[in-house]
Amino acid sequence: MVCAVAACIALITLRTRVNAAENSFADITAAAGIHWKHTSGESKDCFLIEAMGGGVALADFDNDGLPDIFFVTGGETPHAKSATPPRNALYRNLGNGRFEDVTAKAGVERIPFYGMGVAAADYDNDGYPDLYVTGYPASALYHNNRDGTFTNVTERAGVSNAGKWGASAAWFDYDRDGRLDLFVANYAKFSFDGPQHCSYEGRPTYCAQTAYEGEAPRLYHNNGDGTFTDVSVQAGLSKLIGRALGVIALDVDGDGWPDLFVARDASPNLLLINQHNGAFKDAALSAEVALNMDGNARAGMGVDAGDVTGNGWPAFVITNFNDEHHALFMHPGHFPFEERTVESGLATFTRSFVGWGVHFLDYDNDGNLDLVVVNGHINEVIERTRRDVSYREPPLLLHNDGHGNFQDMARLAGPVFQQKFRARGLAVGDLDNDGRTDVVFTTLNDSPVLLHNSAAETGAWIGFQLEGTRSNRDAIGAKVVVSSGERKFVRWITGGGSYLSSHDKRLILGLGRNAPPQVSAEIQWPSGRKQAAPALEINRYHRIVEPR
Amino acid sequence: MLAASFLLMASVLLGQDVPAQQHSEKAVEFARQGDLKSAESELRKAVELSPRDSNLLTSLGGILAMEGDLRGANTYLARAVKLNPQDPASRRNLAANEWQLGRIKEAHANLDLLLRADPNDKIATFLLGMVSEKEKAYARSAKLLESVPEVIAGQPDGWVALANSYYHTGRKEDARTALRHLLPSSPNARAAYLGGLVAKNAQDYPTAEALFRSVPSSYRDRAAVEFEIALAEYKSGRVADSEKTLLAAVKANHATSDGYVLLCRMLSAEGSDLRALQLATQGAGAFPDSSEILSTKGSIELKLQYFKDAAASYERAAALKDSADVKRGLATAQWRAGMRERAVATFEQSMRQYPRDARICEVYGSLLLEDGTSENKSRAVDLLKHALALDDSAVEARYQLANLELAEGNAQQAMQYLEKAIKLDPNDSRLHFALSRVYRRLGRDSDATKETETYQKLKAAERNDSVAGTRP
Repeated sequence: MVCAVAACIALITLRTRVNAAENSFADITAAAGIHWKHTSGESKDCFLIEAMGGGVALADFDNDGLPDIFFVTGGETPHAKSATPPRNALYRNLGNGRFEDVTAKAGVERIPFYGMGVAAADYDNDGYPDLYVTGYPASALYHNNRDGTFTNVTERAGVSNAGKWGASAAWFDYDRDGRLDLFVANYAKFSFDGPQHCSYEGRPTYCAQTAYEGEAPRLYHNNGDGTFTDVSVQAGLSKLIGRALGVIALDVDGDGWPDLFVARDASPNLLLINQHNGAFKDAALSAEVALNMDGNARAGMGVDAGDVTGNGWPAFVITNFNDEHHALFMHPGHFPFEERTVESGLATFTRSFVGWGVHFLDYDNDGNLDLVVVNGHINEVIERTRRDVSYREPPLLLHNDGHGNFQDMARLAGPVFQQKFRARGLAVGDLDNDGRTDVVFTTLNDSPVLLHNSAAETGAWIGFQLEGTRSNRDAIGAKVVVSSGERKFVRWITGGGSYLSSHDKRLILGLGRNAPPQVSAEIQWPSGRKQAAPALEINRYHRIVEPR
Repeated sequence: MLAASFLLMASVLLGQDVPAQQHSEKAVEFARQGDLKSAESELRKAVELSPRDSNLLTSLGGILAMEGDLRGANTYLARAVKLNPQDPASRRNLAANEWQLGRIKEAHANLDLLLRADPNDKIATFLLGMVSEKEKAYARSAKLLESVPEVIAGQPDGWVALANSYYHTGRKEDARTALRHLLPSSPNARAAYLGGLVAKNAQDYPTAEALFRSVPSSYRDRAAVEFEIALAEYKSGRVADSEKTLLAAVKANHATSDGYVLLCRMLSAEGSDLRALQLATQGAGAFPDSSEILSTKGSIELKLQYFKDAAASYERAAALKDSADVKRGLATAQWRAGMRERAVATFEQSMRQYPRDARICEVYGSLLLEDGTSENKSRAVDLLKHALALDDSAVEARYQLANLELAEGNAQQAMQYLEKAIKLDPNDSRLHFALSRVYRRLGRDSDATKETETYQKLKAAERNDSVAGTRP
């Protein structure tokens, strides 16, 4: 079934369009009524966890056609207590450019652990997105009650990830049974009882990640009855000890089964290929995405995947530490991947930055996936030792020429790209349903930043809201191929992605300026079923339901 | 010193005319009192009166040698030998003086004559041993010197020469035994210092340190001794002790420029770059003419990414004493500071100035590759190949070229670069990692696995060497 939903999706313009490509993004945080601040519990103890948190999710929690926003706070630490208890925030999108804080009513204000990230998805296929909040020493699953409230169902579901420091998480259907399973990237062994002490030139600093022993990730299988089973051992994941931070799920090898890319910090990245039998095999080393060219593990934080050259295969971007460059691995259609960090320009633009949240997005709808990255160092002392690296760092908007060559748009994209932050989580989505992708990111111990995409000269676009029936309802794992004249665009609905964050699940495809009025699409559903969708009108969203 | 021992023998007063004899007697008296100037003056008067008296000439030569005028001494000693070629004492003295003057060939010839005439001439045997050591004929030197223990016993320099000959002939323990004669508290500070240098050059750092420590604190070049102690400590792996020694020297205001350089490099190597920079700046103030301190300062600034400061330091270092190393540092700092045109000009000029320096081409090529442009890539390839043409053992050039070939899909060519590079540096984990990638592309999976395992072993060892600490 293909039906138009333009009528039921409110088209709201948050800001008047501005000239050409200038000021493509405007900071509307205050105007939107978002006043929440992240609490890291920053203290003289320098617990590494203080420097790592702050997830954000964009999802339509009340099913009104407008993405809402959920922010995860950190928490208190033994020597950093807050005057008021740290709180998460759920902001309901009012559709007029403003958001309403509905956290307390929703019941997701406080969590009984130190918060890190969030993964939003409809795990019980009831049409309403639920929330999985990661943290230390536990994580929590909040079921959406479909009335603006949530219920903490962690205990019953069996997904508490007890004792672990959970970072990013990804919902995906690894066994293609139509129910979303849950992968949790665990970072490192940690305790508030025994701070690691490090200093630089006599000043206390956060210790290097290598001072913390890594952990294995966890995979929870969705039993379909509200409970989950920890299948980490059967899946072959329990031996993969390392400091995992970012994760994205999509079909990497083209066999129709979802695989996983796990970004790890000073541990080799993982490329977990689905063996179709409940197990995964790490192919990162032979696929040449585990390490850099010199054989060194980088400080992988965030990760995203997308077809940046139009070859139909997903390239991966991984955010790393300064001097390591945020890495770009191109997929030539077979393994190994080809690293094009230097050739693409990423090395030049990211050399001085510590990167976190990251996403391929076509902000100007020219048909090419651009890149947005948020950055921020962890140690303030860096400014005493380095002149080219700062503690607060600007976000990056990199424009793709269609061949995987990027240009820095800092001067054109808006003042925010010249401001400096301690940014961490990043999520994208179309907050006003105008076909232009908006951005929100968190900053450590500070206010988040909500960026409205107000790029004036953009190409045509087409949006998809996929609804699985035999597949999981969110259609996570679906592959969409759009044909527009001579051009073909391939996009995936991924599980996870970015850092500690969760994107709007709808797909927006930029089609460029010369797009015909109608395009066709082919959807490969996670169930394996293929569906053709001909003659789709451009510049609007299409809700497509998987045939039963 | 040796001259004094031998030349005083020349005070034999036979067959001289009376006035000359009177001057000669006075000279002997003055010499006994240590008044060498007056002794010289009396002997010159005696020689004026009896210019063909070889004994007087020998005595005057001896006094001049004792005063440190070896050239002047040689003139009189040579005249004495010419007047009386059969006199072994005069020839012995001439040979000794020639040895000290560094006229090794002439000394050797005179000593051969003496030993031909009397194979049991122990002084000549000793001197020929010393000369042989200078000639780097270490086996002969050791044999000659150890054959005259009674002579060498009174000659601290002899122990030094014998030890040096032993080290060079692989007799480390014998060398240590010889040098032990200069311990515990050497009566001859200079010999102990020289012995320390000999042990240091043989990389026998504990022995070197013991000898340097035995040099009395009154020794004239105390700063040099302290530097050598610190260097020996450093070379023995006692970095903390070495730092302590050098910091004490800095505090006492008698650190050498080499001491500053070593201290700064040690501090930088252990990550205390700001402290290293502070001391390098202090050292550059204390030794404004030291190119080495400035280039050390530049290297620390480069590491700290103070690129403009680094370029300025290297620029000053190059103005004081240019070298390929300094120019390479300067060009790298300029490049990193974003002064690309100036960096390119410096690299190009350096290549003309030091056409045989492979490292300049290697670094230049590697930096050009960071840009990723096809134009720079092509130039980088030329440079890296040129580096290899200059120095077949340029591992970095081979590694970079292999990666480029691999990126172009030329696995076979990449393999050739890497296999040779691994022969040159089998412990470089990067090379094994790259070769595993090459073998994988060539379908040689078991070789790829083997290389991956080697890489992983080396990498694990690297990790064990490093200490988890701050990540600034």
